Amino acid sequence: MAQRWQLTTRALAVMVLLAVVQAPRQAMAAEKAPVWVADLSLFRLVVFGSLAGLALAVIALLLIWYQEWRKGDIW
Amino acid sequence: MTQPFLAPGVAWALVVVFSVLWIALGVAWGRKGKGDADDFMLAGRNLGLALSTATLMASWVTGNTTLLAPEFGYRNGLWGMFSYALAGLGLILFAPLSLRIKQLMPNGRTSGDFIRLRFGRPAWWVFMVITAVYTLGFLMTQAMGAGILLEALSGFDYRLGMIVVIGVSTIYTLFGGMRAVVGTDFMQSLLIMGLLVLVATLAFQQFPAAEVHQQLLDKHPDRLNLLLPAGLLIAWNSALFSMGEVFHNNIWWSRVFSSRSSVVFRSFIYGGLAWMTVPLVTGAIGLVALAQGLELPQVNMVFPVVASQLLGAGGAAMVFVVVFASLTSTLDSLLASTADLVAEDVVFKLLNPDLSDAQLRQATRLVVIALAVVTLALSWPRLDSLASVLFFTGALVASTIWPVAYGLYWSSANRQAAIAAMVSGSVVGLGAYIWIAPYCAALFSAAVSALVMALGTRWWPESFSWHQLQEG
Repeated sequence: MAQRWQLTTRALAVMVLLAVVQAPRQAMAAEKAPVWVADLSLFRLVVFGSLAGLALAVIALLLIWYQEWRKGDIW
Repeated sequence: MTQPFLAPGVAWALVVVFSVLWIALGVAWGRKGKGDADDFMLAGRNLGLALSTATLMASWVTGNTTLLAPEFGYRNGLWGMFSYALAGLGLILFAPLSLRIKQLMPNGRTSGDFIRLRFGRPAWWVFMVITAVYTLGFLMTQAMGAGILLEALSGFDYRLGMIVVIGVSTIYTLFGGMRAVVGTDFMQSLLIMGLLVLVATLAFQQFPAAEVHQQLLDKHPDRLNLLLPAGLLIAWNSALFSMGEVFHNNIWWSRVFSSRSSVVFRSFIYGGLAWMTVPLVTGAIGLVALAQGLELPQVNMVFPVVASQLLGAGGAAMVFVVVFASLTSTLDSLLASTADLVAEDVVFKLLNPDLSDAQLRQATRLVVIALAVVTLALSWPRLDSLASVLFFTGALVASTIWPVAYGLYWSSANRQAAIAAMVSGSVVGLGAYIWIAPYCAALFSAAVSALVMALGTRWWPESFSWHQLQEG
């Protein structure tokens, strides 16, 4: 009985190891994977959201710098 | 060789203008401080929020961010952009740790100081090997990237481009220390972000988002798929890789020590969030190229091709400035913070503890020069597989995430476990890199390192007294 358990545990360990090693390769072969294509509104959100974020970062950085410069707190 | 995007005369004029500007400002800012070693290495430890955020942002925007991220967008679509952007998590997740570091080590100077005081000299050696391999790899990729990019953009000779970028960064770092690095980083980050906004806005004006989306839907619907399994894997590997880079490297630790306690947490959060928008914007430009079916001489030239084809010579000039600023801002940070690490940890703490303050400052300068020379020598023979060099180091740096985190928060963290975690994580990560896929290396390394650190600390807990870190 104990030997059977040992064998089962070993088999499980090998299967887990194989699954871990194979997972990325299987992930690459994503032909049968579910598909969710981003629609136009989502695409716009990503493109213009990131662009707005970048523009906001420039403005925020300049405003923070200006405030610190007025207080003499830059360095 | 293909035709350069920018006329060599214009490229030379831009190089001269920006080189003179960086060097003049760097030298002027370097004169502001008290002139001691601490000021040279850490800019007086009193940086405000604007400079602290900008220096994080500029150092993290490398040549890769402006050229590899569009390639990711072009090749892998939305998930390519997201996966690159997730590298910003490294900065954001380091924010709470940065606050903890400021509390525990008010006089600390380097990440090596922390590892040595927290885990002892043997762990420090392992850590230094990892950081040396990573830093040299990083320096080489930036130097080679400079040569290759300037050649492709403007027809400069590979070695000449490399010498120009390394030379300019070295000169102002040498004369101005961390103040020069941080000050120029502020200008460079504004330049990079401002020009990127301009290029992307003009590109989407000429080729609206609705048209790009329709073309992608018709010709490349896979690029819009949000459930790409390989994309998920690459994304999380990218996040873990960036965590490893930020958690261990002295570039980021030196920013923590340089900034005021009141701003350090916010600067990492703001810097990370602002940075994440850069690969998304440049990746979207890659999608424009794909949708428009632009011909590309090399796929990593997506950004210059789009800019020059849509916006003409002005667009090519803007890309040139963005790339030049990205490369110099990363190289100066690497040179300064690595010189701090070598001078403080090796020259001062290991070899000659009797060094005076002036001698330590001089040693730091000599290390800056030595690093520049070594980088030039190693990058002299041209290698084109830069990304693989950097991915290779992901296996090493991801193994340091948990030893650093445990060391900062758990007084019971075990010293031997820290060593075992870094070694086993690196070995398993490298194995995954070779036998499974390069983008799995950081995942495996971080997972094994976490397990070893957790078990070692649970089974053999230690009792560390936090005040020992105060001497650092």
